[in-house]
Order: sequence, then structure tokens, then C-alpha cells
Amino acid sequence: MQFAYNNLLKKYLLLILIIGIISLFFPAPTFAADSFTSKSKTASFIYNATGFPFSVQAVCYVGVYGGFYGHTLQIDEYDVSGAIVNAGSYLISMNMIHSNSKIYTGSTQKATYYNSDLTYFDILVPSNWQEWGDYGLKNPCNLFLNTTDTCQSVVSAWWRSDDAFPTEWTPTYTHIFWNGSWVN
Amino acid sequence: MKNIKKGPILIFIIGLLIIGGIAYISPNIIHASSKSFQLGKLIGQNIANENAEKIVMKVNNISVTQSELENLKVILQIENPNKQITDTEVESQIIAFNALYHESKIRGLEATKEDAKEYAKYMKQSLTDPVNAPDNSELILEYIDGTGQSVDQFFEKSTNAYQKMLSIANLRKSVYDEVANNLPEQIETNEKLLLQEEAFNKIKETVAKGAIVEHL
Repeated sequence: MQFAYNNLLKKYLLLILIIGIISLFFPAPTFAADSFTSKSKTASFIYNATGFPFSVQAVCYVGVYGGFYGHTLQIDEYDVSGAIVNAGSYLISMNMIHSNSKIYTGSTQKATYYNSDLTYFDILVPSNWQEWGDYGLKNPCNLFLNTTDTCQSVVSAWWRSDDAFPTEWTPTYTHIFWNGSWVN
Repeated sequence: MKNIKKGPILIFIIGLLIIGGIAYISPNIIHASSKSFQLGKLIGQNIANENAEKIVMKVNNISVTQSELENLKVILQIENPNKQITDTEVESQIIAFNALYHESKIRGLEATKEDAKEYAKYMKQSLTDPVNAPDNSELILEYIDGTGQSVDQFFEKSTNAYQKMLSIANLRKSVYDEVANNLPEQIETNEKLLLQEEAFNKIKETVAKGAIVEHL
């Protein structure tokens, strides 16, 4: 009886060990639904009417929504939005528009979304940011990524104002996620 | 003693010197030929002009100097190389700018001298801050370099300009807030922005049209 019990215990222990080893190779997904991240950039411009500079800060949000299917991350929705603020607030009329988004795994480009590919949607922007941007959503995007790869979302924004030199600025933001978590 | 040919060695050394010289000089050439440096140079020439501070016109009793007009003209011209910027275009922009500043004063939204000094201080520090400098701070530093002034000298006379700029910013914010307060909450961001810009541009047009302009 004791012998049979010990054997069973050994079997269970072996099974737990095997599961433990397997789980090392297949880490539990950590990617949360409604996962988004933001990055900001600051630039200076010369105000036409005075010849003196001022600063502008632009923030870019990227959201990835999907789920895990075994070893694959399926992204169903991709969204991008922008907000722009300057330190002096409302010095000039500003507008930041999404230009394009490129999604990579490592150095392999998996998808490119242009502004025309995105449908308008609204996003909650923290109250201390003035909303200026055009926002877009790609759905469905059916993007399958290997969760063990490092994935990047490279977003180019586009800014223009007639009141400043230079009139245009194209900030590029690189948002990185790995195994489902943002690394920013 | 072997007879060493000096010719090839000499050519090699001269070649190295030429390559080294180009490598040393080229960043300065690029810097001096940048658009912002060239703009700064033209602004610097305007400032150095003996009539730079001469008051050439008044907008609602706000003085406009010759260099203010000429500076705006060079900025507009460098941004629009394929178009000849006329004096009328420059004048209309200067009138609108000063009329908006005047309007901000009427509405009690004028920025204080202290606000202007604080902003100038912030700009000056941020340009040379190794951690928090704007991504393109080089552009502004090249521009300042082009004017022939040090960063300190450049910002020394900035208070009046920043006071006007910040006052207009206050006016714009006030108009935008007023428009937003009268709109339904569920309005789309872009539509709201469009209405806010329309309202501000309408005020700009009205005050510019109604401005009292004296040519001196």
C-alpha cells in the first residue's frame, strides 16, 4: 500500500516537474487587454512675428488590443492618437496628425498603417493635455506576432503651423513591446 | 643607406592632411550653411542696422520697429523660397499680431513682465540642458549663432517679445475655453478644434481690420 502511494506521489511530482520545465519555455502571457502606452517629444520653433523661440511638447499614444493563442499574440485592434501642448500654452495654432505606423518584429516589418487606413475614434486624454490630434483605429488588423520576439510600433506624426519656423516637424516615436508587455 | 623615395610619402602625408582638414572643417561648413543659421545671419544683419530700433509704424499705439518688420519678412521669405513676400503681406501680419496683443490687454489677459522673463529664462535653460533639451535644440542654437550673438545676449532683449507672445496665448486659450464651454460634451475633438480655431481667426480678422495704424 505504502509502495503504491509512493509510486503515485513520484508520478505526480514528475508531472509537476515536467509542467514546470515546459512553462519555462512557454511563459505565461502578461499582455493585458486595453494596453496602451505613451511617449513624448519636445521641439523648439521660432515664432515668426518676433523671431524668438518657444517649445512644443507632443505626445503619442499607441494601443494594442488582442489575445494570446498559444505562442502567438493576435492583435485585433491597433490605435494611435496624439496630443500636442507647448510650454507657453496656445502660442500658436497647432495640429498633430498621424502619418503612418509601422509594426516590426525584430527587423521584419509586419504591417504599415497609413492615416487613410484608420477610422476615427476618440480617446481619453489626461486632463492636463490639450487634445489636438487626429486619432485613428485599425480594426480588424489580424496581426499575428510571435510573443518571444521583440515587437516595435514606430509612429510618425506630422505637425504644421504657419506661425512658426520651421513650419513642419515630423516626430517619430518608437514604442517597444516584448512578450506582450510594453518596454517603454 | 637605402635610397628612400620621398615623393610617394610626401603625397601620402598631403593626402592625409587634406582628408583630415575636410573632416575637421565639414561640420562647420554644414553648420554655417544650415537654413536656421542663414536665417539667424539675416536677422543679425537687421538687428545690426543703425535704423533697427527706429519706430516705423504704430498699431493701436503699439510701436513697431524697422527690424521687427524686416525680421518677419526674412522669416517668411526663407519659409517660402518660391514666392516673393511683399511688404503688404508683412505689414498685415504685424498689424494682426499687435492688434491681438492689444485685444488681450483690453480683455485683461496681458501676461506680466515677470511671466515673460520667466519664460525667456526657461527657454534659455532648456536649450542648453543636457537632459531636457528639446529634440531640435541645435536648430535654435544655430539660429542664435547666426545672429552673431551669444545665447545670453540673444535672450537679453526678449522680454517685450515674450510678453506679447504669452498675452496672445492667453487670449487664444480664453477664446478656446469659451467655445468649448458652449459646446455639447459629446462633440468630436476635431470638430471642436475647428470651431475653436474659427472663433479665434474671426477675432483676429476683426481686430486687425479695426486696428488704428499710423505710418511714421
